[in-house]
Amino acid sequence: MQVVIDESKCSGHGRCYTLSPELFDCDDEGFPVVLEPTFEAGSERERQARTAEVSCPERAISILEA
Amino acid sequence: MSKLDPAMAAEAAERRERAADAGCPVVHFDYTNKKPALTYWSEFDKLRASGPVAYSDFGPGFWMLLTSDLVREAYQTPEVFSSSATIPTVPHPDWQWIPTMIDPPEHADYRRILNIAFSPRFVRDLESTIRQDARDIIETFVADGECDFINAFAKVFPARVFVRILGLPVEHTEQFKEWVERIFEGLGHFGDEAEDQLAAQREIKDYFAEVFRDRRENPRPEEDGDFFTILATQKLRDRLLTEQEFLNMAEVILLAGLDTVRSQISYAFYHLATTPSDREWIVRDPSIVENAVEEFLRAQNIVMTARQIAVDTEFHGCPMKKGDMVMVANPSASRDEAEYEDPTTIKLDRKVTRHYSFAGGPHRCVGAHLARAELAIALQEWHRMIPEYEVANTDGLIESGPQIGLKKLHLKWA
Repeated sequence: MQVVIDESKCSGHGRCYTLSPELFDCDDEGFPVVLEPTFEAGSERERQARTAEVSCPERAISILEA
Repeated sequence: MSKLDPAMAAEAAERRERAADAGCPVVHFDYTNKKPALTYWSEFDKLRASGPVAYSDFGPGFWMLLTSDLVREAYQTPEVFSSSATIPTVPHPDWQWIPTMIDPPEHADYRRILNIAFSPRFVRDLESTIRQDARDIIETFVADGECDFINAFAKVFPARVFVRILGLPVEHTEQFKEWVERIFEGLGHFGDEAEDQLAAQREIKDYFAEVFRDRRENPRPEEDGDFFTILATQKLRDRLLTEQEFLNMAEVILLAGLDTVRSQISYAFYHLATTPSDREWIVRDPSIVENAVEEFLRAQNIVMTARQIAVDTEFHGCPMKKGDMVMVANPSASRDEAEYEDPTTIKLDRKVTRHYSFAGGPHRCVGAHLARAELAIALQEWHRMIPEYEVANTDGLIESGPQIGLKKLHLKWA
């Protein structure tokens, strides 16, 4: 599975890297950087990806299933 | 209430008729009315039940976007929903806040400077000093067993943080508080009722004109990280900021940084003072605070901002014309039933708390990271020092907009 950020929608609210630090970090301006986009179904990282997805006010985060 | 001039009155009448003809509920939403605390949120809840869009004929008149989907769409479509005017009743503002009132693509150049200055990293580095500020302020009244919460804490704390992080003299804290009060007193009014607001805006500009001259002539050493030196000497693409741009940016940072935090903190403490189970929860388990902050921001969203239509558009059945004002009702969108379960109830451990307290799209609040830290620190430090307290006043528990704020809140403790 893979987590994807739509950069045209992301405006740097920062919920993803705050709530899901295993998957995201932030750059100097406060925009997210994906640390490791892929993960196994059922893993802690999937849980974090789901949290980031439902916490993004811009709906900029989606999860692609393999 | 001031009257509209004849040309504006004619435009307002045409706009109202246009909205009514489209089947849009027409209401008289006068956000300057003082109402009992928490009334504005329940009014938004009622309005939202009548449809996703309403039209208010207060002042020159404005559309109101009430649901989460529509609010997000407006924020994400700045080419239609322009930031050329951002107060619902003021379609022709006498001021230009930067970058608040600048549309993309120019917006991004200004915004980059501020993004770096207010980044999550910058906030993290400041956390311990902000925490110390909170403790010092609480220390001034903890032994009294009571305090005028708004004047003794909610206004002082963000103002102290503001002067500290921006490198301004601490003794100017009171002056900043006073300017901000006068501006928010007038904001959203029109005609002569806005005069003192405009005077305060001029005084702020005079103050920061001095700061501008000083930082241009005597830039502080780079290792100080002095905010206004950076702003006065930073290149915007290939040129320095003009004095006017500098002043417009300084004013917006002051306005955005002080009154918002004051209001948000006041409502959080009003809720906790009247809901002992939630107050005890925070005392028992301070790790809930960060989620609680998001929930307070969601359920008690204070900013009724606006956009101005840049090109004629049919928006979800509403015929909006160039120049029309549109209230982007954050306080309603963040309580949308389509988005949240039992949205009007505050649940400190709510799982989905995404909200529009910091707006959205390119103009997402640049101070969001700082505001979150200030709110969390205030809640943590207060409850460590004053775990039990209650509301001591019955008068003055009133509020008005366009930035919803409690007029008075007295707390007492044993």
